Amino acid sequence: MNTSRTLNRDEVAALQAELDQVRAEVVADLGDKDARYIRRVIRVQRYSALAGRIALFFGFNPITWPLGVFMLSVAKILENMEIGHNVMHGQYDWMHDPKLNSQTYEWDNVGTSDDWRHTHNYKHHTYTNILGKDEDLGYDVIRITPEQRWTPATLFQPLYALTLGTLFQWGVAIQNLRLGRYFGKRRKPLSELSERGAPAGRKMLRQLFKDYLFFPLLSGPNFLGTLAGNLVANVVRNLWTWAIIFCGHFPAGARVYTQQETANETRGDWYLRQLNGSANFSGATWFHIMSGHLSHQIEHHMFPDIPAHRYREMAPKVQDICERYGQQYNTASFPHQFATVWGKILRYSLPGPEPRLPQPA
Amino acid sequence: MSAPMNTTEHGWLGRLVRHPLVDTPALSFYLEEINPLWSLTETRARVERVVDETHDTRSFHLKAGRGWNGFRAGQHVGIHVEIDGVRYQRRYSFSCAESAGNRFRITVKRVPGGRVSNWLHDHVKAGDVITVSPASGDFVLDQEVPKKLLLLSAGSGITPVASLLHTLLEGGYDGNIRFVHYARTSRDLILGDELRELARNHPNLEITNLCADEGEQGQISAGAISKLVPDFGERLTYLCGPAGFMEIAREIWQKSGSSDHLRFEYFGSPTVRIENDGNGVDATVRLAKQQASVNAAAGSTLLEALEEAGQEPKYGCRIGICQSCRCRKNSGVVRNLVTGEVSAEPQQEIQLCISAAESEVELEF
Repeated sequence: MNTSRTLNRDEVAALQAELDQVRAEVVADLGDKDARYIRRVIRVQRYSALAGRIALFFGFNPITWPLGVFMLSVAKILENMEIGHNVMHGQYDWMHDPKLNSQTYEWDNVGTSDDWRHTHNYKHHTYTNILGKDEDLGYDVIRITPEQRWTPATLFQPLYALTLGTLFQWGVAIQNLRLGRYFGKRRKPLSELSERGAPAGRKMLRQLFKDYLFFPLLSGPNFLGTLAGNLVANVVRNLWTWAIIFCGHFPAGARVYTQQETANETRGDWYLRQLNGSANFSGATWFHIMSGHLSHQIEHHMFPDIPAHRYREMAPKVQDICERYGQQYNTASFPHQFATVWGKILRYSLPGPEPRLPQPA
Repeated sequence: MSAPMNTTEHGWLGRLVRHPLVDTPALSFYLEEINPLWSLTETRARVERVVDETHDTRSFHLKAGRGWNGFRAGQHVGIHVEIDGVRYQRRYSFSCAESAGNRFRITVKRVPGGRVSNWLHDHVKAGDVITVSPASGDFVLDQEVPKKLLLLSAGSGITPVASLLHTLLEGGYDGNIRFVHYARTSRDLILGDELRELARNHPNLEITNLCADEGEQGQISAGAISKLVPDFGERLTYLCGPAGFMEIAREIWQKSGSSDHLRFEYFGSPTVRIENDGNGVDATVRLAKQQASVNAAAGSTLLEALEEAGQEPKYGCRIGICQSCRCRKNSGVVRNLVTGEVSAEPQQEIQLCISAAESEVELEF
């Protein structure tokens, strides 16, 4: 259950000012160390990718193959989470380095960066946890809150969740294509899809070419070893990002909102929604980095354009503010959060319970 | 004229490394690890030598890497430096002959309080690698250079003029060149020795240096010019210097009816005016790609102003979160309406939905 108390207007305004202050302090301090940090991560990622690709050239060897898969998985996870996701949020735009530009960065994922910037940066981060507006609330296949409609097909949602996890990058890739519109009685013509989906198609081809043709061919006789290694690395990255992302807004205690109650939000209200709709998890530094600092989902949602490695120093300040304003600060170990997510996936695969939020007429 | 320097850039290899199937940024990373001048994503230059010219002016001898396409005398190059994590760009004139190609020189005067010029002086040393952007500028030699020339410069405005001079003499120009240069004091004569040497070796070149601390003759005026160069109106004249100096010179040429003989370039950092009464200002917003201008009412966001004018910029949340409306500001001052931060640097990324113009602004979207 969400345990936050309701704030009056003055309190919301005061909370907004305090959180703005937390942000301003970091902005004033941005500089060399942040530039060095992201470049160091990029360096580790590039060398990890290179080492992984080289190790896989040696085929199904009991030492090099698992090592290659491991290093390539690390590289793909780092690139998607700590580099790609964060750069595309504009976290490093203040550097004015074209390589770290939020609008032109292209990530190592079958989804295009342009589609991601639309579905994630705009829709999800603006309308976080608003029913009917935030598609990330179960991605249309998982009933994650009782307010969402139950159908007999929902019974199988644990299976959908696992499938989504295995193919996560493909889910990301097609989210913005809204394939549902091309089925059913009032479907749109497929010609529209081929036009709208052309950039997505090109990106998919490019990724498939790289992992399943180019590098395997480079490996010569070890074609299959490289192909299988790349496939496993992609799946490892998929499962990892899926598990991390499902722990962002689905753990117990994260609440959802109706469109009515969020119609006239101030920035303070927006902060409150980000806070109460998100959940953190604890862990070692390497774990924070490999999660792209989505372990600090609360701070990330309040300050999406602040370099993510700064969330660690912002978190105690945010937590202190939450305590003083009687707001829940949802944090626990990763296994705990993940378990509560699965608790919801299982529970809501069955009908009921009664929705807590007023339903639109 | 210098030929394009880097043929691989346009050849099959250049096309291959930019093919959509190639991960160009990744490839570039590994190449840069071997040699930073091999970057595929930007052009770099290595500093070969740093030479003190005067007490506050230094020359940087650079050698550009792949992607560099040469330059013409009188043009300028974009120099990028990173200061405390933030990249800044300034343009500096070449001060050498254009035959220099990918080995060129810029001459930089310390601007009091200037972020980039001081940083270049204090931090850049031989062996460093900096990022450059292509040469540009219209202050170049005419196709047909007549037999009588006047070169007129003041302060650090001498640099592009010196580039023109070096190029002319190297190309065997045998017409008559009068060079009149204004400086603050004799200590401020940039490239003084080098130009004296040129005059010694080229009887067709005559140089006059005038210093402001030597009294009246150190100030430009119609009388002084006609006394020094009686036939100035007949000479094709290349003029460069600070704004005040240029205004006077242009007026002299206008009054003598010889404006069509005058080629000029304004020099020095642009003056930035921030009228900060808290309400913003009515401003003109130039759109570089569309070659259009729109008006932004005081206090309105740039996004609103552009939409009002019928433009269709990309946008998303309209409250500064999603970055969809991010675009490049080439010049001008804008204020972030959420945080109050001011962006006055050229070539910065701004968010249209929460930025208001504080001066004339040029956008690239």
